[in-house]
Amino acid sequence: MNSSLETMDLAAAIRSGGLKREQALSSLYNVTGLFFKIKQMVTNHGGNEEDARDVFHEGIITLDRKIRRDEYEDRGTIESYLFGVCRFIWSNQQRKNKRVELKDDFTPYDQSTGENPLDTMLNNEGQNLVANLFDQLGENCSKILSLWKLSYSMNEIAEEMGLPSGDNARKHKFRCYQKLLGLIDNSPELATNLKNLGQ
Amino acid sequence: MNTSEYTEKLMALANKELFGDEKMQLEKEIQENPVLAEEFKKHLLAQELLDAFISQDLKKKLSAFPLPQEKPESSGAVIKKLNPSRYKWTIAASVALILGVSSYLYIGNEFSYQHLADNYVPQMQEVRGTNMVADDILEKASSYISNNKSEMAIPLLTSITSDDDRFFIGQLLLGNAYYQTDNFSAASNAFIQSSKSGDEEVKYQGQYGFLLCELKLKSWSEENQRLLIELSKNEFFIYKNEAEALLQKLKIAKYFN
Repeated sequence: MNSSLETMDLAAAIRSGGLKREQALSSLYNVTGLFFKIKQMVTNHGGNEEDARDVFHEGIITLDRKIRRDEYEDRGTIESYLFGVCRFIWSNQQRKNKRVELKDDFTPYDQSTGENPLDTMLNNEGQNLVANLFDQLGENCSKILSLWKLSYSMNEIAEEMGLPSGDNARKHKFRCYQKLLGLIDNSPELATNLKNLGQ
Repeated sequence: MNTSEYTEKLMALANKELFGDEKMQLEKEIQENPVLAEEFKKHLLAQELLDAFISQDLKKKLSAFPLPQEKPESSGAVIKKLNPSRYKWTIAASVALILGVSSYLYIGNEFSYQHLADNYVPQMQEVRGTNMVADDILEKASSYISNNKSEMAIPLLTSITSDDDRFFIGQLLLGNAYYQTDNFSAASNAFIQSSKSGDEEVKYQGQYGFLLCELKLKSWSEENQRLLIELSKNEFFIYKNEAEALLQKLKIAKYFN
């Protein structure tokens, strides 16, 4: 597959959620030569193939999140954006590890500096917090709310979850959401994040 | 509004599902009511948590993916691994451009339809089976085709009957095998069969294979042109860019045929 994906279409597909998002991410994942390029960047700067794979995956996750949160700026191709994100991630990691520092400045991707509460949640400690919270929420509720957040329609959610109707899915979603709010209320660790929000 | 109604509205606002007057009204209330503002923060956090959970989930899924093909291929037979989460037992063969789009910018003035199709040869994707009967056949056939031994793949693939759920993939491989042996009419029939698959990827690749056979058979029609246009615009067709490039080339080719 050539690497000239139509940025807008792919970004739009990710943004629209549902199956289109999955297909778009899958296409992006398999862009010929993209991983190779990222691997070269990582291995030329002190990393190995495993580091490259991690960086590549983190890059896709970040790109997906940026697009879904309307924080993605359409400048150039989506592959070059993803490459920039990966470069930033690796540079950041290297800086933390104090092993090698990438000499070239990377400017196109300066939005994700770990400042917002979500980025904080995505660090290692935060990941455990999120994982525990959704464990408590339960598999079904986690899935229903994720599908809702990914813009699946209520009918699609019903189909996916084996529920009788869209209305029924809506009721389930609301109950699950209330349960999530309850868990937030009872989580002291999340209180800090709550305080930071809106400041 | 009662508590449940407020929860519904705040949930919708936090998820950016509220618009117009309703949105403005609620935002005004939040500004004026500190209790409501505090409650809304919780909804924003719930959204952030969901976002984080979705990212974690994607991370898990990506870890199960094989790493993509490393280098752009420029010539020769190509083996591609498929995403096993999508193709549990499987594989598809794809008819794709092996020489690469850029290469035929230099092919001179040979714009005959057949010559255009010469730039396309079957590109195989590796079979990874779990069913030891039909999958074995697919795997073996795929290997034969990749090694330019298509004549050995053909009897294997024709043994897969239409009631087998691997029939369409088998037909796609068969199309490739016939194409490689220059039996374009048989290849065309096999591609037509595979294009009836419910799996969109197999279907699109079958359609593309059929179009390449049409070029080889000098049977290009307006209908073929329309199908190629559709494929070239189809974001979910893996060889969309090749289809697009072929379409451009055909614009010139029509003056020579």
